[in-house]
Amino acid sequence: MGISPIERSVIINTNVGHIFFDDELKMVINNNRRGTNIMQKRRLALSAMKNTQYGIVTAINGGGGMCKRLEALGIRVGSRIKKKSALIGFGPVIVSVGNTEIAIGHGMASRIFVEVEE
Amino acid sequence: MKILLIGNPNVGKSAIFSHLTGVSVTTSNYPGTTVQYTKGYLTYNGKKYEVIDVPGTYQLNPEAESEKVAADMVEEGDILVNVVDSTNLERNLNLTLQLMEYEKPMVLVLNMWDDAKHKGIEIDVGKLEKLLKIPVIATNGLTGEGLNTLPEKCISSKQTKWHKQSSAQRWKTIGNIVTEVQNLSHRHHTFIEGLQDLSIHPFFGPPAALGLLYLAFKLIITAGEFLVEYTTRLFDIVYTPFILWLSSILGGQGLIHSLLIGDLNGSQIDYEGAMGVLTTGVFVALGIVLPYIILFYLVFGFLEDLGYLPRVAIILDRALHKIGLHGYSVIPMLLACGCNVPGVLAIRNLGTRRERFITAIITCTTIPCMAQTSLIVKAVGERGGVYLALTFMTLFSVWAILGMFLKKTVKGNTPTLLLEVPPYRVPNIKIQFKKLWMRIKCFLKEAIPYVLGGILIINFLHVSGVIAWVGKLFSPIIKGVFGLPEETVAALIIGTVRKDAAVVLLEPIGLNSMQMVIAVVVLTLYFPCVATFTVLFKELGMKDTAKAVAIMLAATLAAGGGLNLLKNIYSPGVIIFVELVVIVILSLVIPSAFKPESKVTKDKFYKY
Repeated sequence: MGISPIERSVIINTNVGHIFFDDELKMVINNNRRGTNIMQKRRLALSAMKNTQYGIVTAINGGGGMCKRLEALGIRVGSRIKKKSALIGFGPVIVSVGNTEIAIGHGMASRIFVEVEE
Repeated sequence: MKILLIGNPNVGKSAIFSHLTGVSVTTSNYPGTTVQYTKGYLTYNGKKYEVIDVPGTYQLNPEAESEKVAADMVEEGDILVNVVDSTNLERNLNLTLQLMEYEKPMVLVLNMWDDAKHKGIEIDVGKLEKLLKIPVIATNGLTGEGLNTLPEKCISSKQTKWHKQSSAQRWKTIGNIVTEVQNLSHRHHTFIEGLQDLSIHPFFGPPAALGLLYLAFKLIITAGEFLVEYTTRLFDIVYTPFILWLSSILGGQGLIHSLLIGDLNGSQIDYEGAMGVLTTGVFVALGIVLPYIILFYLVFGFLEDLGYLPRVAIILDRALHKIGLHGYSVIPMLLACGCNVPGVLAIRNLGTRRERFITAIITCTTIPCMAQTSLIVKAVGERGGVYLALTFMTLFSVWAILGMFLKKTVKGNTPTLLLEVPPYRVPNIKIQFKKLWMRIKCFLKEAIPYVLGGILIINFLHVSGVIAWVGKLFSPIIKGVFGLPEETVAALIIGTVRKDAAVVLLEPIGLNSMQMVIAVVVLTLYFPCVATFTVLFKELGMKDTAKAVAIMLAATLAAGGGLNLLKNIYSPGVIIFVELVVIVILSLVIPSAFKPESKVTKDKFYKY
């Protein structure tokens, strides 16, 4: 899927202050084309969050299997998480949910979106 | 009547199972210790009940093979015992409510009660009982506290009505229950939690893990060499007189004498060269291999119970993506360093066929078990450290190159790592020793018959001339490709039975140092031992096993032949360097695990 420069600037201008990652941008455009705008609030991909930040999961961009696996571990839309660490070089992201620590591979972590508590 | 022990991974089901039935099973501190269900019996009030330890599952919608086992079993159970980690009530209740929908007699066990108390979590057991309408007990699985009422509660529990819910409703119900029964109090960060954070630290974590693994293996090998020296002396003092006496009874010669005792060298027995069942066979199994096995499982058991293995998986995740796997595959591989059989069994925890296939192949091909490692250290180590380094470096190169090759050729996808990281727990000494004893017993039962049998077979084959004949047959490969003498074929034949016995057979041949390295590498790679092969066959099926064998043979030819060519040009030290360079270049050339479009790099930020 190609992103036209116009589409890119529209998305970026309507979400001021948000740092876009390549894949996230594509996802947003994809959703816009389908007619659903998921970028209503300020969101960050879990992989882009800073360590020790808290946040609430607002969207998980994945298939049913991935959502179910995450849900079983306690990560679902609405759960409050803390990012503990992310290993260098696109390594796994470690978050804590309740009393559990969960390691999430970088690919999956970049598809979980979080509203960060400032 | 069937009682099922069911719950999330790593909540202590196996520990409770051991307490109920008296059957010892392996317990440790990482999700996925139990991959097969284990059966045992509980006798209560004169009645016998079947107790089944079900592999842990987060949900009853299975995707991994081990979770599928759980879902199928629930249907068959008569009484469900849902074991729950009290420190994680909310997440664990998700499975509980799913189980409730089966409307079978059920007991809820709040395990790890002590941990919860330490963490400042209070749960109102009475209230929980009322809300769920099933008996609830608080226990501590490792010590067995609170478990004595479990059988009675199991048997007296009745069916309860529970309406089916969608997953959103279920989470809402859970939220309501948790707010009512759970009470959290604040407490300070403990020392152990500090260590926990440090071991997954973005910068300190990886070097710490590599350092720790290196230290662990260094410790095993150094202490092993030290112990073997003592066992050798012990054998000389205690066992030699017995053998000499037996030899004199047998008349010092003849078929039975050469089978049982082999070539004696006066009053000093060369235990490694004698080749008798009672001399070399017994000495190899008890004198050399056993000390290493004990040391390995001592160290490994500690790391396992501490909860370090999942952290190794996280740290190596990125590197393993290079060979088409994700971090969790490191657990089967580490288990395989002890013995390949549990290693291959543990691949069931991996989600897709592709992962299982790649992990199984590279594990059985390139990872020598501890029994073999101990003899490699002895046979190659005495020729000099550089040869030992070359042996392991070559095996590692095959591991890496084979992995990268398989990643490119095996179809399917590798899911991203998603792993619960258990908290560190200080290992319990009593349980440590129980586990160690279990593993040693298993080794003694499994290994000794094979080692003794292997040496017996090879003696027969020698006498009947089969070996000379097979040696001639395979001479073009063995001599031509590997540059080894024909006698090596004896070791290769025995290698299919038991690898440690095979390495011993290499010693009397009189190989030079480089030949020894090639022989050991070939011996490790070409075929798994019979025990591993059986499990591999069971796990992969006929077609994939055939593929696996073909890949192993190809890897052997490439590695053995390659070393044979390189040895004429370079010194061992340089070969190590060459191998290292090849791996680095290949890993850079072959693109990383992520598809190009999802690669996130700094210059690709779009910022307003």
